[in-house]
Amino acid sequence: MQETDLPHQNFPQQDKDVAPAAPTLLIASPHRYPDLAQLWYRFVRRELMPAFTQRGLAVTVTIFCDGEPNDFNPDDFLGASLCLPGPEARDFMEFYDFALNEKCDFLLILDADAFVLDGEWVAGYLQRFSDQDVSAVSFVPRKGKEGPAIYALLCRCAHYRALPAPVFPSHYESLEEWPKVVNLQPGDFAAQRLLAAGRKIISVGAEESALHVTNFHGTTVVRICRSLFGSLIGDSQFEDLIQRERYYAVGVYDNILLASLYERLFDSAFAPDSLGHSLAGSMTISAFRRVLGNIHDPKRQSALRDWFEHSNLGFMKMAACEGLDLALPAIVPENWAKESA
Amino acid sequence: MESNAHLVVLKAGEFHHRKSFGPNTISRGAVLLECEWTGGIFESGVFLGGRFCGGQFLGGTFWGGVFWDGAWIGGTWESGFDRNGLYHPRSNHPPYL
Repeated sequence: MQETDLPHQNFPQQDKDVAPAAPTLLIASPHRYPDLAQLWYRFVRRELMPAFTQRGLAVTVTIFCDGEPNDFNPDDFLGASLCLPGPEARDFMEFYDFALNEKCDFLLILDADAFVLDGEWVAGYLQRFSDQDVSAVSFVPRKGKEGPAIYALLCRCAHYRALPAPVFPSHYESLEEWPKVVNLQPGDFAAQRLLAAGRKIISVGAEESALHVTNFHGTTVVRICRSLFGSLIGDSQFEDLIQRERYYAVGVYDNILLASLYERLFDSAFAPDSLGHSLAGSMTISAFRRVLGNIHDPKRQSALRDWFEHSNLGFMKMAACEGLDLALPAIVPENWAKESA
Repeated sequence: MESNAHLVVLKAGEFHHRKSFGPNTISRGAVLLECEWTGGIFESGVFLGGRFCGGQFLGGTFWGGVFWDGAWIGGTWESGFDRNGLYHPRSNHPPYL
């Protein structure tokens, strides 16, 4: 794309003798754990920042440190701003609105476990904003669902700021019908309001997205649960939960993949417990293999395999981006193959 | 779980997932994931997801659930929703106007 394709006309022009200010982009992401944030930032700095800068945007990155503030070492995030919880952003959900109200023309919200493998591809979508009705581009859809999601969402700030605050928080509807409620995820309510007002949100399809972005699932939630109540309920009940619930099982699996990559790149334990043991803050490979070994239903095995395969592809692409020849960790137990056959 | 005809006490080390607890229940250190609480006393433990429909929240951690009704007396509000479905961030605990 030529720089002249940039939608400069969307921005306030200064005096004729003064060059128009470069449009600004804020890349924002809430993080609970500094190890994942390091990996995330590595891809942002290599793929996204140069791609947008080359298109004439002034790019800044803000990482919300939603865990222990002292865990985040500024030296690990050179070139980014670290934002600590405060009155205007008490938690990650408020951080989204906080980021929206920073000085920026565009806001790219990128999940903590979303990794853009091709910044040129993302930045290429800037030209879609020359259509004045386009409010956002959603680069990663929810699995099996159409419509925009917040995993990787490039927003035209002016449109979102025009909505009544708060703009981004998740939201429940039909609570009186419990448990048949509607749980709108972060950004969903904003999208509904924008679309109702005649705006457009471009949603990239799953196939195209998977070529350029790796998105893991539940990796932070599993770690939060482990630290919040893992020791309270003990290993046995925690493993039962992972065995029963697909969402948590995928989070554990994805953390194992992330650990494989992170530990190779940073030579430090990923998702450690308080003693520094790798993955013990999520679930170790041996424990997870034990959990999977207790799943005998071929349908459940097949469903999990589908998720694992999706993660495997993303992992291999990330490793390729790093120029690493990494083997997939041996996780799925052998008895699965026999029972599925 | 310790119970007699009048009282059910959920103790430390207990973990309950997608269950409902009536007004004769007291939590003393249990972890409740995606549960419904309909009138007992939550003294301590973790209430994660689910719906708090009544009773008293005296202590422990409330995280990501819906505070439909009841009295917030104390504890740690990590996040959650009010009866209108609106999100309330860390530390912004009930009651809401």
